[in-house]
Amino acid sequence: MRADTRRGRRLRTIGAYAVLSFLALIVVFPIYITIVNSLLRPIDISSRPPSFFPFHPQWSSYSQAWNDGHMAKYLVNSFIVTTLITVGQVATAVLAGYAFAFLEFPFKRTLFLVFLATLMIPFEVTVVTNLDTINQLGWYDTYQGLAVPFLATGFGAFLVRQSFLQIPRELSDAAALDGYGHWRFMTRVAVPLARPAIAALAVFGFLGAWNQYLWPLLATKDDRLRTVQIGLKQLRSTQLNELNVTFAGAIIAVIPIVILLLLFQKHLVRGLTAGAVKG
Amino acid sequence: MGRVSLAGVTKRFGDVTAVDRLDLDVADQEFLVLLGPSGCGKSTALRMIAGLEELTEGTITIGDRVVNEIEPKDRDLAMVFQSYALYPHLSVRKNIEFPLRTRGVPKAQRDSQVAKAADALGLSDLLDRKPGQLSGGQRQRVALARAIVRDPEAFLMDEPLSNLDAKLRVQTRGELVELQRRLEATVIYVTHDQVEAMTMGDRIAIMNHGVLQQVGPPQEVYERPANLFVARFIGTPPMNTIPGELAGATAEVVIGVRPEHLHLTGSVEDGIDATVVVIESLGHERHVICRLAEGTQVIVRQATELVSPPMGDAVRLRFAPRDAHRFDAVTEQRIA
Amino acid sequence: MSGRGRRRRREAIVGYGLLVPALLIFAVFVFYPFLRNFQLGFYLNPPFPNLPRRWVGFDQYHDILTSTEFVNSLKTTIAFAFMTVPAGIGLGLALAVAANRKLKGIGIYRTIFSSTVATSVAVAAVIFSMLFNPIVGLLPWLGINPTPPIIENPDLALGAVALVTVWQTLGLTFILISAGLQAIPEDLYEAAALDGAGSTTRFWRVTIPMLSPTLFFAFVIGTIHAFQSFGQIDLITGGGPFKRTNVLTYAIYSEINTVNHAANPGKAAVLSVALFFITLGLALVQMRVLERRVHYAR
Repeated sequence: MRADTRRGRRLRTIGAYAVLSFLALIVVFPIYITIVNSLLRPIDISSRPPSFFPFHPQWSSYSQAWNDGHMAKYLVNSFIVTTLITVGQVATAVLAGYAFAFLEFPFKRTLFLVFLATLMIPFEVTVVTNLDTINQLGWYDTYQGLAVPFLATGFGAFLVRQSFLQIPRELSDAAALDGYGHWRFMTRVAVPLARPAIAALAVFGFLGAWNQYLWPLLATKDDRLRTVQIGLKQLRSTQLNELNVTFAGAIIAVIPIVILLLLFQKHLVRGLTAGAVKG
Repeated sequence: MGRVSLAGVTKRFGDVTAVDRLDLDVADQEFLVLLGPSGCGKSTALRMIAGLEELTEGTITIGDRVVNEIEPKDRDLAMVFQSYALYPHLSVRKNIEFPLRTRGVPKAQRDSQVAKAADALGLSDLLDRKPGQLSGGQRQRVALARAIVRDPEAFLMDEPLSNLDAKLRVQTRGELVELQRRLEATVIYVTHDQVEAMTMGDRIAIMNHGVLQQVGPPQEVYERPANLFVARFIGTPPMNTIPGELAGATAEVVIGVRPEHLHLTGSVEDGIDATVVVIESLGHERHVICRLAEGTQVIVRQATELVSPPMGDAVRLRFAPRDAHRFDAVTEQRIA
Repeated sequence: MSGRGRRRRREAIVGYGLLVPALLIFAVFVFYPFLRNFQLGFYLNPPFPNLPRRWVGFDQYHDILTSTEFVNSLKTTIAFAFMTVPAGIGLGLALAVAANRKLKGIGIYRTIFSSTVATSVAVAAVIFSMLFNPIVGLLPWLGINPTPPIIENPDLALGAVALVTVWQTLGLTFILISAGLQAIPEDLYEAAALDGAGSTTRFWRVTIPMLSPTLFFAFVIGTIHAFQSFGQIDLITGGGPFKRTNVLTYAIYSEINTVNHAANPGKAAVLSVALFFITLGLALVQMRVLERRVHYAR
């Protein structure tokens, strides 16, 4: 009887590992085969049966994507634009969140609703005119054209406000008595205390900005201004006979985000759940 | 120097009057306790003195300055909060140093002042810890150290002991008074705990529904409560109030008698008829709870050496006329 | 008295000042373009550049919104949402439940399940284009080799794009649902086990109800997201074959794409207005219908 349940338990554990491994294989396979293919010679990619392991890895595809495919330049562009957007989103969210959490002024509720209303308007709905605006400002094919429309989000202001509201009222009272004005209270007390939410917002903003596709496609034509995502499209159309280079480019585009996630995964989860909790 | 004075101070939140024409003078080096039940306006009054809440009407004077239009930071007050309001991301040292930094005190002087304040409160070994690593009592002392570090005109304290456990509270009570004497400081102390008020205050100001009820030294407030509210609020167990006609007076009067002034007698003809309902023994004394003929409950405080009456027994209650407080049944004010 | 007013006024000025940066961005890049859509929709842009646009009033709205092209595009968009959202949440839930065990090395599985978070739609499109490719692709090698090939096949193209989308969003869905699962108190399961509930009963009577707010959130966000999908379609099918993957965002893009000489921003504006109201309506309906269930389940 006892031995039976123990054996049953072990069987169930083995079964669980089998199911998990099978699922993991399915999820990770597309990425795995892309890495494999990026290391094969173009001719081996189409071999039948396919190669599932690069026995003679050809690292030249990466240098080709990096240099000839301009992935180096695309990465730099993506970093510049993404950094601008992330810093901008955090800054505007902290400022607005502070006003909504700690200050009293007429029409505060209305203005907060205005911020929330932006969440109801998908960016795709605004591209027609935004393209005109960017053109008129002379921002077509510029970093500011890629970044400025995204420097503020309703979600960011909401997240930071919620986090600021958690700070006990007595703390801001104490700071007022101790001689801290709004600016110093915000930078020295409120922001350090809201660091988890701000980090979540930053990771979220970075991820979203890095992966943008529609707007960079519309707002740039010059190859020197393309971001990684659009660069991949370019790479694919110009390196038709060298699929391994395209796959190397895809892997290069993923690596910065993998590093970011390894460092900040905790914050991403927190940002996501903050959204779920509000509902 | 550290004089604080309130004249006609009123605070309204919409239709609600939180503080109603409050007049109060706190002398230099006085320990004044603002006492009242929760929601009586005492905290709002304190926050108006601090400048954290604006006045609807009236004036507040600190030292020789009318401070109505002066920012909290320029009023030269220090405040100790109920939750201590320590900055969780700063070390104990940084917390204590905080009010000095904001005032641009030079580094060397800051260090010596922090050391002095920490020493006065026995925090010298904890300076590099964060508030999260401290016990409740230690946090409370950090909050005090932050308040005393810059030698303000007056200290405002908002229920600073209410987050401590009972034993620590009693101990800290004494330490606080000792500290106040040593610093020769003016303290305005808000609490809902009448024991704290009685034991700590030079004077007590009792508030209810935003209105000041009585101000005076603890003993005077205890011996001559100005009205029924004060009579019932001060003293544990509270003062017994007996309808006038039961106690041999008219119906327009309410008689108040402290539990220690009520005596049980077996069979004397003058006295009030009562039935023993509950007997609570506290070890050093005994509370005999009796019900009067029309239902009023009264508490008799007895020494344990006396013989306890049996439960359910019919007894008679007596008190000396000089121990009776007389209140108007309608206005609830003391009748002289 | 005047001091009170002054302090309050100063606080208000600081408050507005802090809101200005965000409000400026919103005004220029969210509200103005949003509202201008309504106006643009009244104008027909001529087929040749440099000619004046022409006021046509509600005619353009009427013509576009009743055209088969629009109706097909809308159907495609809705079909796409139906293909991606339930499947995505179902798979995410399955992965999350499978990984919600105390086993040695479970962290590795969790990392793998959340790994697609690192990919973008462009990366996913590149990866899957290869898998679908009739010459080098693995799916054809495995025998899934229709004619015309998958992404040129009118019956399969949309499903193929949906598959890419489900895979690409799987990591995010997994992380979200896992967080929800981990927030369910252990003692609820213990109590249910003591009450004699088997694992199936526990799943339906404890896990799902406790998870319903998270699932609800995933559903609303997932649907809105599906209606905004663009990159994978542009990269894999380009809206084809025969406009079978011409979702609304792609149709908008086609009308402002400088390569398209027949581009008509007026039409793009009308489609934008339609997209907005559809998204809004969907969100509201979901809130009404689903949220009631969420509360009921609680």
